[in-house]
Amino acid sequence: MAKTHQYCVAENWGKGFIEHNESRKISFSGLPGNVWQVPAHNKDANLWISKVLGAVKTKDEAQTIVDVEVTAAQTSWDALSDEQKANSTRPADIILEE
Amino acid sequence: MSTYKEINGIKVRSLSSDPPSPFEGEVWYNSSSNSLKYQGGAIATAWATGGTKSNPMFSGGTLGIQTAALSFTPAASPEAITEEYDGTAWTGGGTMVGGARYTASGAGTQTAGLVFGGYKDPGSPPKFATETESYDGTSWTAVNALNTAKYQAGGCGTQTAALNFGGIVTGFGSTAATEEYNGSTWTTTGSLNTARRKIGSAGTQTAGLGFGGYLATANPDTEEYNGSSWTSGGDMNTDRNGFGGGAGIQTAALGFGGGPTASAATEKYDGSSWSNTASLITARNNTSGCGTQPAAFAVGGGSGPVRLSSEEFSEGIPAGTRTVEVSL
Repeated sequence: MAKTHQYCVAENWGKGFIEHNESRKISFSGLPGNVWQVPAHNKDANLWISKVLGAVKTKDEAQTIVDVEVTAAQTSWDALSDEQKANSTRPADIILEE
Repeated sequence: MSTYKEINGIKVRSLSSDPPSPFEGEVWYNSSSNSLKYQGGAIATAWATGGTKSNPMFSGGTLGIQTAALSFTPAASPEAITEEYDGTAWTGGGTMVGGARYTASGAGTQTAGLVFGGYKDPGSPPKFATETESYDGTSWTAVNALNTAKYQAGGCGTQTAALNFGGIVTGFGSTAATEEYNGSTWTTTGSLNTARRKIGSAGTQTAGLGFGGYLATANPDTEEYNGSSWTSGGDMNTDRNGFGGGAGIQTAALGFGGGPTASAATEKYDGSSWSNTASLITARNNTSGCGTQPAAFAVGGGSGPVRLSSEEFSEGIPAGTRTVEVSL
């Protein structure tokens, strides 16, 4: 099956990290662990990865990074008091797509 | 350097009226209006990353606009700290005087803000706050308290004409209670038809909007306030709770993010129905927001770890004739 998405790790520096003009051209999805999902086989996506000095990851590598972050967040949530749990929702697992 | 004629095959024409079917990129001079015009292409709606906060923001509040926002009461733990955004970067704001708390509600602007209610440190009863305080861009001042202690409520309006509705009250039940602030005191007014917490909010004290929220489950209900009572509006397309805010006015609002599973969905309201538009870059439960429908601002929230980041919304523009504006 052909890849639909590609993944990279890059630190979001804030303003200018993803510009409106870039977001209009391609679909971005920000994930835990500074993992970013962008379209595969796409010139604009490749240009953006270069701009942010993104470290390209396979889907499995990206999944591992996301899992570590989500598991840590779930562990933190599980340790909250019942009162504090009432104020939030347990972070859900995130499954990346090919 | 290429000329306009070399690129397009024609000169810039001087016309007494706009051409009936200009091609995209065509430029002409309108001699009747003495203006230079062109046919612009469509520009898509999109979110972009905004400045990164210093303090995690989960289930807190944000007020103001995209280029002058104020965030308060982040929920990682009860806090009295605030942060200000100038359209590029966050800096520290004044420390709230009503005590550390989280998930308060707000109204107004960065230089004339109002924050009310919230939830205090579990070790410091009473936990449910009535405290209300105003901000002048530098410092906070305590003003008269809410009648009903609550948090995770909706808030909209201005510093001198604010509206507070829904939320969680003592005992952890959801409430439909609504209060109006006149710049001096809070007065109880018509209740929501459906009691809810984590409700999205937009608008003014006399034309308010509440949407989504949580009772037993996330729900899509929208209600409109007319200054005295609430009536049903159009349902959202996606059932959601976890709003710490919304953006816009009753007839042009934007709702984004939410939960219970972190959502990136964004919808805009036209006064009668919601329609889907460009999704957030990052799915965010318990996000907060402010601004206008065409220029909304999303702050914090979480999808797993709590977010420090923010996002700026830019409404698209359809293809059409535009006038060239020159600054001298």
